[in-house]
Amino acid sequence: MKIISQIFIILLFFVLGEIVSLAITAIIPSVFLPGSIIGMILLLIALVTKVVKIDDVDEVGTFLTNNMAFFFIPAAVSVMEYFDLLQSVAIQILLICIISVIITFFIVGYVVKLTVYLQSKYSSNKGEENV
Amino acid sequence: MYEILSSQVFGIMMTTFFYLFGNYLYQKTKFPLFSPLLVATILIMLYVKIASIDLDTFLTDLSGINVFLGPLIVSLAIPIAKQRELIKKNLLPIVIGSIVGAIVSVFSVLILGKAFNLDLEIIASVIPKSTTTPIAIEISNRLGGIRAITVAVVVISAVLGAIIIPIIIKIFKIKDPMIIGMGLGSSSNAIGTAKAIEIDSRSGAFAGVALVLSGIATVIITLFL
Repeated sequence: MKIISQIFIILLFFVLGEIVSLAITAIIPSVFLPGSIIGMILLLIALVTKVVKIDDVDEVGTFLTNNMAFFFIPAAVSVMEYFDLLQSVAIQILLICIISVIITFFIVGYVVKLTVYLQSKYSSNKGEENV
Repeated sequence: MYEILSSQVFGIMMTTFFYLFGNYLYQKTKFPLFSPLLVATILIMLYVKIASIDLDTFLTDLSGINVFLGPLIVSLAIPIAKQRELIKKNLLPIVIGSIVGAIVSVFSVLILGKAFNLDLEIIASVIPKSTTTPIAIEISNRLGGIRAITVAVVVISAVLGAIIIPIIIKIFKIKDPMIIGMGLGSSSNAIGTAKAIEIDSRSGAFAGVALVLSGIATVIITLFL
């Protein structure tokens, strides 16, 4: 029963996310956030506030997240449908994807590093003032 | 016999088999290009082609697997909740990194697309490539992109990212789980996040947060395009 109740809780948060997603788009028509992302935020809030305990979702959730790549196989296979459509721009698109991923990774990495450095410098200065 | 071969269970069984094979190959060689997802995908494509299976029917058979995609994203709350102290401590670099990641991703596509002389329609289809599929489709629609191209590019880009980034990590000997997770989550959506979880549970949690924040940031940035 434990697994079934975990499945239920996760599905419940997905459905709640879908509802909130519809509500957001109804209020701000140009903004769309998918139910899955909102469901994740809602579950995170529930876990942090201990409305839901990690043990209540752990086995099923960890099974899903640890094997995530598997669940993307159908989506990846479906790219086959678009081979004809992509043919004429395939090389450009591949190059854009590769270059963009590399640039994004390095810039994000440096920004994260820099922010950590500035933050630690700032907080250590504050620390000295306190002393 | 034909009934068995064309059944839904058979399609899913073949998928798990190819994935297991891809995983075996990767574990044996540790060669980044042998990502289980990529190997399984290519083998299934070959299987579909060689056995001349109708692709639409085959994908419908696999739709059982697709049902889990939404709940899977929801479940990412769990690794994040487990690492919440680490994330709270690093909230500022995470938020700034995610926003910058979204900006760089969007504008790198815009600039490269112009440099390659691509049609605006195509550029608009590729711009949201770093976000998850549902977000990307919305943005692409709004910008006048072609849905099918967006759907394909989101997956292609993420599969490439989940292969390239681990190579970069190796070459530059990057160890910081925050940099690994933020880079994968903000550039390569859920497939990158899957890779980050594989690398380290901490980088997985960072990637999950980056996935959400950079997704939201991309929605907002593209409102101004």
